[in-house]
Amino acid sequence: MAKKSDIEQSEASPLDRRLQDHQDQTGVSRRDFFKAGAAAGVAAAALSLPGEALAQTAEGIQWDYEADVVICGGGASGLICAIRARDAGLSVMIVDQNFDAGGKMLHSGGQTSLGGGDPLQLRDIAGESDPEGFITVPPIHTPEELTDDVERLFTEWTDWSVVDAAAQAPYRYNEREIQRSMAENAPDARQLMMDNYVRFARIRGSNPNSGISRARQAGPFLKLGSVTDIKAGTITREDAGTLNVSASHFAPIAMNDTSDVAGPDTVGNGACLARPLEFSAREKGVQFMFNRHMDELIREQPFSGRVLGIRASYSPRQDPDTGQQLTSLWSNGNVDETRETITVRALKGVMIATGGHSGNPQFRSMFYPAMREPAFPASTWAVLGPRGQDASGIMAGMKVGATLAGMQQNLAIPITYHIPQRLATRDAYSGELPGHPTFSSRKSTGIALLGVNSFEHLIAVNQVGKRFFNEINLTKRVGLSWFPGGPSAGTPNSALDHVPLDWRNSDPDWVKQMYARHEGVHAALAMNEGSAAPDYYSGPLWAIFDSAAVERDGWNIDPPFTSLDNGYFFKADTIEELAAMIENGHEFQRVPLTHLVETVEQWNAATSAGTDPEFGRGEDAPMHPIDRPPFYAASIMVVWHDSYGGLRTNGKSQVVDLTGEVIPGLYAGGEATGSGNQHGLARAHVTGFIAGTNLAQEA
Amino acid sequence: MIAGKDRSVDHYPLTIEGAPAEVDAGAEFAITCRVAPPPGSDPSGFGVSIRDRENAELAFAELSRSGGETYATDVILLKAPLSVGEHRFRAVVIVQEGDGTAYDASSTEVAFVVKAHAIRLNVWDLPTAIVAGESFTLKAGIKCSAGCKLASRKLEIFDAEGNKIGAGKLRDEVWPGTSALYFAEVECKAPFVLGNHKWEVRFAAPDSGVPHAAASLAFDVKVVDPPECEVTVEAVDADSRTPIGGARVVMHPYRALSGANGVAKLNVVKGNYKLLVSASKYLAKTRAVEVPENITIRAELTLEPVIDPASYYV
Repeated sequence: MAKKSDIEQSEASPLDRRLQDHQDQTGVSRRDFFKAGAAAGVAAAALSLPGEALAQTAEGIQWDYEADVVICGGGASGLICAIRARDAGLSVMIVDQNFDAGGKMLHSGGQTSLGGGDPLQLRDIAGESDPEGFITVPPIHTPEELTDDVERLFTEWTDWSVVDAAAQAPYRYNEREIQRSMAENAPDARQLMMDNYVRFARIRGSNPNSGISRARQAGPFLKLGSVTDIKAGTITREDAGTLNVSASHFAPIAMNDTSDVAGPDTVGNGACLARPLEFSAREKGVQFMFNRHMDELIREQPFSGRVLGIRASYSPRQDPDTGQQLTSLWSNGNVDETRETITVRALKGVMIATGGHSGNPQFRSMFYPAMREPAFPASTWAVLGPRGQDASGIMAGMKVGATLAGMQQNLAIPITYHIPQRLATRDAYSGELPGHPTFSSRKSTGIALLGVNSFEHLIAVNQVGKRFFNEINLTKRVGLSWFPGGPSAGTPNSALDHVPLDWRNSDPDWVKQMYARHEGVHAALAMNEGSAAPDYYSGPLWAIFDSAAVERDGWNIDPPFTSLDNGYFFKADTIEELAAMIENGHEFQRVPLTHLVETVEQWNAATSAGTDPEFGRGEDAPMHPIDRPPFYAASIMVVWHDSYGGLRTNGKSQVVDLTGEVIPGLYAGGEATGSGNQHGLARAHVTGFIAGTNLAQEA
Repeated sequence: MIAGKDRSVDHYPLTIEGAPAEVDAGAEFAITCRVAPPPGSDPSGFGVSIRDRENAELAFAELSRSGGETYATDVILLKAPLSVGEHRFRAVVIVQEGDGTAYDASSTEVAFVVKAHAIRLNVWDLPTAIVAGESFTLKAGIKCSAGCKLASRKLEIFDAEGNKIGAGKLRDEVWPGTSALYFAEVECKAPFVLGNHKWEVRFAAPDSGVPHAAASLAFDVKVVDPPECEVTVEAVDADSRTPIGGARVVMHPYRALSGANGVAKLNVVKGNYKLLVSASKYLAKTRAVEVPENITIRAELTLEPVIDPASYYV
């Protein structure tokens, strides 16, 4: 055992030197030392030195559970990783902060853009249907549009030359090694999903930032039937939900009719992806521990050594009205654990698939300080709860030395945060209907406006009751970069005519020609009279309108689309009363809407004059007075939807530290990583697939 | 209860919570009282009596222990007097002696100002282009801050010179969808003065009953020459060629809605206009229009493209 004086003279870390001494004395190498756990004596010695970071060994920790693979997060990335690892014979435990599986995928549209000559592209080229023959519509794209290969996919996903219609570059900053690996694994990832009960409809289009020249995207579907049977591919109308009426525990968002991409009596959305994958994972023996939030990774040493497992705390959710605890749809394979804090050992590795940072205002303020405003949530806020998308997985990785990547990509796509055209509900990204256990967290589906055109009938005011932008332009967004491309997507040529890696794609004259930006959301986030140091919150936003507007544009403002009890929708006899109701009734309204009465009067005067000198309304569409009682206020939300930028990973989905070294035993996928700028599920699926493959290869 | 003995020097510090500074005449308001009795005492028959200026008891509420050494009452509902101005109530702590007699202990004032009910006026369904000298109607509404029923009271409209140009009596029923907005359909006759004007709707304060403040509201009107031409606008879907009903057609200051057949008619003065046509789900269209005589215009609207919601939801 080294003497204290020796330690003071030497430069190597104290633990390293003790290990070296141990090796010198016993001949046991450092690697063997940790594996064999012959560290008892040295560990004890470590404890004797004050103020020192403690080394940990797997044997020195009291583990509550263990599995070969511990996956934090049972969503788009985690479920795929789980199945892949399980197929390789590993034991798998998924730990999820929520009460149910599926993550954000469950709540999504389910659209997955892969390609590279994947099985669906081949199926549609051949004009084939699915094994059950549910698909009766012919392929939507021509064989040419579907003919794809890994080289083409990789080229498109790393193309330096492509810019979108806001002159942002969606592909050039993608990590090449990761994109190569993703392109190579895309076809197999698609096959894995199809082998695990997911039924995909015809390929149609692609997803934002998924490439210009080929059609690569398909959505999942199920066939309506008398029973919900994942194996048979059928679902009851009750489980599928009915648009504008009800949802279900199976699917928080009512499924869309998919007869135009599949066949008659078919429906689909993200639940048709999440539930089959979950079903298969359970069938294969994956264990699920819900209500369990991963707080900390346990690494041998603070910034070196292997990741051994996780520490996680109990995170149950209750129905806010009844107090009853929320439970998962299925329970086979559930591990019921209610202790406050537990540890789970990972014999092969830990996978961080915890989603992104969109639900953490503090974290996301690193990208855009104005979005520190807690009034504005992440999408899927009700379904995932307050601990969803909280960046905890990213931060846990950082705390053991992981670094970040892709941070500059977060502001380069117009969907990352935006103003949805849905009023009167907090999670304005979606129209969740009653029927799912989390509906009582939001209490309203929201008023889905008909488009930009609906904004003709209202004015939008900030937290002090002043207008701030031309309402009709408020929600306009730049076009997205996706198949088939063209001017609205930023490329001079479309689809088969698109030329990758061509300087003309970003020629300045071309950019000037197609360039289009809209800044409504930034005007909405601007400081105003009510913003105070140090946070300078911009505050909530309100759509103000009258009963004439509701009638004119045919809005449904009855429950469940609105609730008079959730603070996101108010009705009053006068504008003054409306202002007082908002101030008293909305949880994030910090200041009075001092100017609201005056604003409405000014608006009505402008309507009378036929011109809006402040914000230019009346040039492109009629203006209408807001004067017929009753008067309404409905929330306008800014929703943070996507997360780009997160843990740095490599082509094997291994997490990488500041020096570029792999952190042994640590993997990550999906929105928790900076693995690329491709919007949507596929990035999560493929990085999860890759993680599963490599976890199986861990010694 | 009124006590016989006066032990108002006894030390029972009393605080009032929730008392408003201002309250509408005759309106209800709520307070709670909190008392910290002397240490060691365990008062019985313990309560607070709220009394008016004449010492008449308005309300009595028992005090019960509410954590620590303090006692509190439940919510006490009081009614504000009808007369406008400053008022004072007195809150008196009542304590019972061992022999059962109650006495007044300490007291404190509850001061507030009674206001006449504030009135908010509103005008709607006002024609956007009023022909000089012609009769027209508008709706005028009135809301009292305390929600009083104002049926059968009068509202009057005055022009900028102070001439009365219309009057209406408030109906019995409230405007649909409101809780207490009373309204009148006011018949007016437009003066022969062209241009933009500010008129006023006025509500006179009643002489008796619950005090209401007088109120007036200025609103903009546009008085125009009699129309010379008829403009027929046909709103149709650019792709399917089907007529669009409920389309909004504006040639400022004239406006109309298209019928089920997609047709809207505006009667306008000759001249140059900017035509704006919009309809739900469609992109609005605008163009310059010259009107020398009766004309017909076809407005072809295109549906606003919707990014496939299924593909957008990821």
